[in-house]
Amino acid sequence: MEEANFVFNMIGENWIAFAIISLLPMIFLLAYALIAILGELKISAFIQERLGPMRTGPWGIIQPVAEVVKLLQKEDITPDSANKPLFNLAPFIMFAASYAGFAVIPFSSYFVPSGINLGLFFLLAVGSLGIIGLLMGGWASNNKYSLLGGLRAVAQIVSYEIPAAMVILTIAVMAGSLDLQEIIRQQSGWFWNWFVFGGSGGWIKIIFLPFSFIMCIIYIIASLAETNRTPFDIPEGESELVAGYHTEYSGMKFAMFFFAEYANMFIVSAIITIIFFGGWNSPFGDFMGGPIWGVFWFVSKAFVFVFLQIWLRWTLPRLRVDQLMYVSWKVLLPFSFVCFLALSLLVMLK
Amino acid sequence: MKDYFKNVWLGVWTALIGMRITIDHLFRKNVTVQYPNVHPKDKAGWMDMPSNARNRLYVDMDECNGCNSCARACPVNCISIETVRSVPGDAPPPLASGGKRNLWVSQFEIDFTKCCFCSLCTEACPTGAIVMTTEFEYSSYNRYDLVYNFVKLQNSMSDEKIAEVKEKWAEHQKEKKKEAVEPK
Amino acid sequence: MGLLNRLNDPIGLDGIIFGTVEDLLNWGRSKSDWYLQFGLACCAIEFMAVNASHFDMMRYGCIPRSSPRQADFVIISGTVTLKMADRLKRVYEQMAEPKYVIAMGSCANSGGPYWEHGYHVLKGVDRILPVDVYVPGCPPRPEALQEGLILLQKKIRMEEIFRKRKRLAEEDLANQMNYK
Ligand code: SF4
Ligand code: SF4
Ligand code: SF4
Repeated sequence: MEEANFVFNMIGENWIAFAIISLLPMIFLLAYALIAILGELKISAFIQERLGPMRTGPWGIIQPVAEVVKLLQKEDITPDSANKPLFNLAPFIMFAASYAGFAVIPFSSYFVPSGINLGLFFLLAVGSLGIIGLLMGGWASNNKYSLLGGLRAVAQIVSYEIPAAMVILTIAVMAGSLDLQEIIRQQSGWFWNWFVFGGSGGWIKIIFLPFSFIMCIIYIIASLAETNRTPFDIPEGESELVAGYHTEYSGMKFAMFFFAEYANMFIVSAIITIIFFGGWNSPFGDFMGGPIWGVFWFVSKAFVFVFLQIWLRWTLPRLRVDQLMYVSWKVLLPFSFVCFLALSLLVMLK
Repeated sequence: MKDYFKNVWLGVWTALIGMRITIDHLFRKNVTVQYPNVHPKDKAGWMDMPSNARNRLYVDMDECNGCNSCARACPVNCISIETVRSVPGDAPPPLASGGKRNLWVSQFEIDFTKCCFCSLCTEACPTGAIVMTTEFEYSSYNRYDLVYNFVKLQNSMSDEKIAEVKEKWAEHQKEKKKEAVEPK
Repeated sequence: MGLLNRLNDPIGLDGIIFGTVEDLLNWGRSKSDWYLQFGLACCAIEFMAVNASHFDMMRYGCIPRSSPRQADFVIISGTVTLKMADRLKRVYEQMAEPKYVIAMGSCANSGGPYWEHGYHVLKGVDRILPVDVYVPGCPPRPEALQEGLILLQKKIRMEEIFRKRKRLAEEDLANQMNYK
């Protein structure tokens, strides 16, 4: 996997290279968070036929900078009766978990921070680490709303892990590998080679198209639930639990939660892109191919799914807790089993 | 079983319908009026302020004869008027519209933090001195800036003048008392 | 505020370095105001109108937060009854510094229609909280509330962080002494 990293090629495998590699996703993440916050504000405004922030720079485009400057100055409150070590640790665990996910995200064929060959498994494992941060924050705040929010978050994320894991299992079967670069390479060529269209192979896959589509939809729904986005945002439902698990957080610690949420949004979008939409592959064969264009294709595909999440957030109302469980256990899980069997059959027929 | 599949199908389909509606709205022209740039008082603005809009009151001190009708009509008692009677031969200047005036209005305060802008005072006023204007931008950092003393604001009577008329009236009272006592 | 005035003493507390940092910090706080949702009575209806599409409070960078810990200012819109005053004070104390208060409508300013005979109404929210901007009206027009918001942003912009200058409210109090 050495050749899969342009930094190693340039300055060799030393600690400077490792430092640069671990910082590159952070730089990307900061830029992305500013864009995503502005995007969220503006898209929500346009969907409601409003204008959104207008008075901070031209058309309000530096609004996220103002938010960051403000959040830096806010008083950092630790409630008296809170469990202080846990309370202070929770946002950092939350952020560390989502940042760890970036370790295996292949931005291009020549850049992946860590080219381990268990990438998909690693993403699944690290993705559920964030729950600990949520539960810690909710429990340590010593606030009934926070506690309820934390418990709901755990119940929700644990139950939606299962359909998501089924989908990832299917992909592992289809690709025959857990290495993300390998999965992406198998989807190279035109867009009908993507796994959402059944992967590369003969015409037999047309029969199985509905199953791979359903698989994709299942993963999108499950990933919405895992990142606590609407319509599955009951852990922070404002009308029931004041602000859910981060009710007691202010200033920078709240900003960490906020940041982690946006980072998670990107991670799940990246996973969808990798396992279903061909990662850094160009949709049109060799047109605009290559490692540099790969970054462009990867980021723009992921941004489409970030946009989809924002779009869904301003479309759908929040589910009830029982409906949430119904969707997970009675709908997504049986459907994912059926699709798993069907797609395994496809792999055998190919 | 049939219900189950129907439910699932409806769940997905209605979500898609909702998404079509929101994407439709995403590209529509927005309806926001950018207030400080587009002002409701502008003719070119989005809306002409109606003449009966309930906004800040204005009292024309040249028209007010100090009859206190408005203060009595006010349901929240936020108008406080002080008047001084004039001595014979030293009547205040007549109203701008021509009527006679016997009272010096030495204080006319409206507390806009209490006023509920019901406009009852404007209906009670016999001379039409107190009117509703179209002015609504008068937020302030200080609550006491919202107590408007129209005598001071329009400078209809200076402090010296008020003191002078008060003195005159007191003297007049004294003389009257003396006259009432002396003939006996 | 001008940059030129600061050229005389670039390092000092009034100089370019601290002055510009201060300007930046104040700019951030004034442009990103998250408000606590605290609608109490009929004024809250007008407050909702300001939030909705036609007036769009988000143009000023105001995002609604329901947790007081994350809010920067609270708009008290409506009649504060004595029972609610207790809760209001508690919610205000839970907010993180720096925090601001806008009193919207006659009821919040001074008790409004209830100032004389309202046995159950707090006679002005400034009896329990330090109010920064008073917006008169019953209810104020949406534009009037927006003007109050702009006044609040101006006030935040003029605050001095490093010199701990007395807050504007105190100056106003001095003016009020002259005025009375
Ligand atoms: S508008 Fe109504 S409340 Fe206001 S001063 Fe006139 S009578 Fe009183
Ligand atoms: S009713 Fe009219 S004339 Fe009489 S005191 Fe009031 S404003 Fe003046
Ligand atoms: S000021 Fe008027 S509109 Fe506002 S809450 Fe009080 S009575 Fe209602």
